[in-house]
Amino acid sequence: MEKTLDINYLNLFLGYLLILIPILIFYYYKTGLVKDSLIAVARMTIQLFIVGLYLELLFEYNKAWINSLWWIIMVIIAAFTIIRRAYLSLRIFIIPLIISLIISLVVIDAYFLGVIIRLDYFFDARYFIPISGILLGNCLRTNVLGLNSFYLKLKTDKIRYRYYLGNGATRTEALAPFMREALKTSFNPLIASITVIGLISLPGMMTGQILGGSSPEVAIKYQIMLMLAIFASTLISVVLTILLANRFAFDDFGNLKDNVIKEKRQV
Amino acid sequence: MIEINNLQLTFDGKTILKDFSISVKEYEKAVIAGESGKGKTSLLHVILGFLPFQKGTIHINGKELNAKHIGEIRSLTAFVPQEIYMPDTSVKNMFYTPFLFKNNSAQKPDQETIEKSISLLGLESDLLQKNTDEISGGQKQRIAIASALMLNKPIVLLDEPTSALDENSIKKLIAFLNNQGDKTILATSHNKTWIENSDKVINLDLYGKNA
Repeated sequence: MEKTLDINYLNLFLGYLLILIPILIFYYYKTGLVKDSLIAVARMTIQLFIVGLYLELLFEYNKAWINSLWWIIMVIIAAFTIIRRAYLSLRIFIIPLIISLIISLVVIDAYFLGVIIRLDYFFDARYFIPISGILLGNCLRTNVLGLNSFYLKLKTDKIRYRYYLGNGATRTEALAPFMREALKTSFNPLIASITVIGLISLPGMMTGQILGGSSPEVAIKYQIMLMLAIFASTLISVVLTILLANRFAFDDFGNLKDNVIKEKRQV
Repeated sequence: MIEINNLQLTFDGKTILKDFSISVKEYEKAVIAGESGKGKTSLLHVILGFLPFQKGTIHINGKELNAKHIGEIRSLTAFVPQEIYMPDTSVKNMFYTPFLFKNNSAQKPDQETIEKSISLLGLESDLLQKNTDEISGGQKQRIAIASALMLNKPIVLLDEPTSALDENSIKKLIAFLNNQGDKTILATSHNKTWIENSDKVINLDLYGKNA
């Protein structure tokens, strides 16, 4: 397999000059985004270098417990990020989110790595870490949209929820339309991106594999499997989180607790 | 049928009701009257378990309103809020929504019965084919009232059903509701005609106490 060409640090520095284009445009239109953009690029650089160092270590040792520990840390960080970005109550959502992310990743990782790719060593960092990472990144995005939509709608449209309950609906029946709307909101973008994949953009993993020396055919097969895995894992995690969190998000009379979601901003 | 004893309701730090007791008997048509902010809607919400109360007891059909009985109590009620928002659906679907619940599926009426019922409320049957965004708030509320009454629940709770109606429509609505002999109806309203035509008036201006 041909090795990917390295980028030396001088050339990487030249690459950073690209940021001048958005900075100048943002500055010209007085968008107030210059500082945020610079902070974002600086953070990206630091985070990726730290992750790079850590991944070097993971790949060198390639031990099941170290890789699993990294996996668990990713899950916990994702859970906290979802809660913060969806403006949810940490106390109510942290445990349901961690449980649902773990379940969805375990099921889909096991199927993808164990059944489809049939790895001899399931925890092989080369597969286990990047695939779990991509699944988790997508779970994060979809959960933010889905959870925010579900609980914010319930809070702002509580008349409709009460209308259902007051006419004899069980809590599950009264929540069903809100679940339906949350799934539509959170999965429409994913379905749209699956629909046009390859037509208007080459997906990241496929590009990475081709750059890494894989044949386009192998890259395509991985990409197809990955999209299916993303679809399934995100759906499991969103639905499971809502079902688990609902045990703590309502009072004994089926009313949504006031502190479940902060109404201040929407995603 | 509905028994409230020594109720205290505090909401957003304000005591809306204190030492409040009422009784609405079976088949009675009662109106909760009073100025805005006196707790008319809140009282309906308390009866349905949507708002917590601080003191007192509420019994519906002999069952105490608490977490244990709330499901049972709500299975006895039909409820129409003042404003109903049902996005992206037809009026017909809106009408049928409560009949999708397991509790109510046996009561699902046929098209002819629905048309007859809504015409008594002064609505045209072609309204059912429209989208909910195309009809007024008052029309939506009357559709919801017709739907609620066909659920055949013993207790019907209506929040300001007259607020978006003209006097002629109000008269039709009152006649329609007073014709529901087998139902206990408790409604909030400012409307003089209705207050005059009801079996019982619960005037919250006389009970309400500001903290």
